[in-house]
Amino acid sequence: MTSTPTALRTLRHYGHSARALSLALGLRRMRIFKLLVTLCALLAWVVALGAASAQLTHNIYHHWQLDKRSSLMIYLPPDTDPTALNQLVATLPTLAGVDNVAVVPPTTLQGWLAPVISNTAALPLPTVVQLSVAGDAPRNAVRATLAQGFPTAELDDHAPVLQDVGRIIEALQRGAAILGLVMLAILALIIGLTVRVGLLARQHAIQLLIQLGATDASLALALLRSVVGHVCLGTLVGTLAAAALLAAASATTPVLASHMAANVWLALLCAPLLLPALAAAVTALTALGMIRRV
Amino acid sequence: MNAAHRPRRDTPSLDSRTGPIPMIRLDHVGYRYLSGTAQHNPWALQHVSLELARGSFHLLTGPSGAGKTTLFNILTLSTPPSTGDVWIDGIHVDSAHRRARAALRRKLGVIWQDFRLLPHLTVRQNVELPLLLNPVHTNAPAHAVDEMLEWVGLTPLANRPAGELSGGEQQRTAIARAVVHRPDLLLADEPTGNVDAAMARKILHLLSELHKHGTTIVLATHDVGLIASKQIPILRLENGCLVTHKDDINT
Repeated sequence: MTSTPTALRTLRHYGHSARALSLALGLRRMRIFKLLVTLCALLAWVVALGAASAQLTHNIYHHWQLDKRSSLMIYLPPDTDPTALNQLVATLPTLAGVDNVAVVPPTTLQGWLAPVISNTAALPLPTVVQLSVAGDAPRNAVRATLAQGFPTAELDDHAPVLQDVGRIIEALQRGAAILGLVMLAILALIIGLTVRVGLLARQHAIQLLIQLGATDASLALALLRSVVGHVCLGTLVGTLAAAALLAAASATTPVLASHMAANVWLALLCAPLLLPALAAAVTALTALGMIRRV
Repeated sequence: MNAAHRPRRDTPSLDSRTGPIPMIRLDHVGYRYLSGTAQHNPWALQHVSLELARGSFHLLTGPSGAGKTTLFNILTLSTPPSTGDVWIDGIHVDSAHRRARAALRRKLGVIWQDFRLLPHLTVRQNVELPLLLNPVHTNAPAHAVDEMLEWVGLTPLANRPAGELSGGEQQRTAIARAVVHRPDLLLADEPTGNVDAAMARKILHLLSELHKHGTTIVLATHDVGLIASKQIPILRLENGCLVTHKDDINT
């Protein structure tokens, strides 16, 4: 029961001594730490935007996939016999897995083409039948049915395209993850170098403080406090800048806004948190190793 | 300064002895410079053995190059000896863990000849450093620092950066820092070297007061005349060897 006040006293002592050592080492005046803030802001900005973009891409793909995966389009020649067409429309719903069958009205089709082709009314447009299907099962049955009555019909199946796009999305996400790891590795190098340069610049002060009774842990804690403080400041600035950019992009691009789910903001805010955590680990290891050699 | 570092050994025992543990015990301590200029006689210290009781006051004297600074560095735990064993406050320094050595250093007060102040800190911040580094003194009242600054006559300069002080003022700051935490062992290298005679007497009076309160003191100085009137035993080094280790008065 008496250990709590002792632990609190120890923590308070470490707090006091870390502040005193930070002041004694002149860590606040070190220019390289100010550079660290700038570098961390840039890295946090890249990491936050990278994570948010990866999540946003995933959201867009997922939404598009849900929309397209359940849809098949059949393109029949313009001169298709209406009786045969009606028969086809009546037959298709009987196939297992086909939920709904609808002939796309010519006006709708002209509307689809209008942005890219002018004077669509004069063109011989195909007859388009839209199917809502469940899963992959009915695709072969639909193909077989078409082969019997409409050998020239074309079936627009999104599945292969979806698979390709899915692979591209996965590759992009892997690329973003690798980029993130590279960023973290760069940060680890920068912080390791900063700590080394900082300790070398303050070598005499460290020797004196050790002579006055400072422990390795208290010196490392002082350095940790300073480095993580600067990294946190840089991370905050970089993350806020990334959030502002994403918010601006979302406000000016409505199609983007529709996919800006909470998980995009969560990725943007959480990914940069790796920077202070990494900074703490690298600083502690580097500082303890170097202080023991002083 | 390159020393021949030895692999860590098991702690040599003090068990064979009876009676109180001395504050300082050196057993055949030697120090050899590995590089450069001292090729003819690389041994700065040879076979130095001594015991200084708790609460004792000793002078460390000897001509230039006798090994005073080397012995001083060994006693302040700045330099490990090349040979022999050192015990401070019953702790075998060479085999002690770094944390134990840090704890031991917090019991020491050291006045270096070159002061070793942190120039960007104010006088007050320099003086209060030993208190802030020690869990026992973390919450020490500020008046401990104030009293010490007043005693060394630096109250008006308390908030001035140490780097802006004169040599004498820096020396007084270094003295205040060395004694503010009431060390068990005070090691002083020429503490009166840069101050006037009045301040030198004042410093010696402070050391005497500390000694009366039980602090063990080793004072390295050339100025034997200054302490001629005091009854202080002398440790005399010549050519790296301890030639006098006696408790009688040497005037």
